[in-house]
Amino acid sequence: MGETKHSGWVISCLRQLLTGIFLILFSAGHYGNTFAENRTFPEVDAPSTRYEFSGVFEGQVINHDFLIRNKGEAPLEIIDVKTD
Amino acid sequence: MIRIDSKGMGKTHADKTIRVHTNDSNTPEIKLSLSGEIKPFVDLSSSVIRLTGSAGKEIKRIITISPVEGNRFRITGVAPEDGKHLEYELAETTHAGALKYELTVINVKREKGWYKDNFRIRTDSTISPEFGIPVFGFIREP
Repeated sequence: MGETKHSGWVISCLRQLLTGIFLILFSAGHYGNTFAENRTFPEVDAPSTRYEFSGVFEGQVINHDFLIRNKGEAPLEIIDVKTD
Repeated sequence: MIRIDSKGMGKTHADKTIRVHTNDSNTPEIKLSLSGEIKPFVDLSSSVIRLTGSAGKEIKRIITISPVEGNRFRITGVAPEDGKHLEYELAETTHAGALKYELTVINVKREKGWYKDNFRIRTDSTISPEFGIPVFGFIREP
């Protein structure tokens, strides 16, 4: 009788332990997925990085616009611009 | 936008590069470059007029101003900035069908010494509406 009571207590403990492990694993999986979903990155895209001009006389000013766009999910930041 | 001001560059190869730093960890730096040849807008037989000689003797220089292909201008005015020690004359000529100018400059400073001046040449060209030709005079004792 005492042995049966003891076995029931052990089973109950095991159940609780398994439930706890399941909840931990489920939570970890859930939060892991949420974290992965939030891990977005900027992705810089510059279709053209070089411009060759011709037919320019001394004294003329050459202007050229380069397109820089963001193909990623997170905001792209231009941290610094340096000239050689 | 990248800008190159070619003023004073003469015949040369211009190359300008800028480096753009971003927070994209895969492409933290982008190199953007602009390059090409800069052509002279005029062909001068001499870029400087040097009037060197002895006081009392004739000191004269003639320089040829030739408009170049792509910038065929006419000269609309010529004058030295100071002009105190100079006489000058501009003559229009043609060579092989192309318009050219001859600028004759004569020193009128009689005594020993030196001076500098600058001819301002005005044209009908939108590319080179005005340009300068420096003058240096160095007069020795007779």
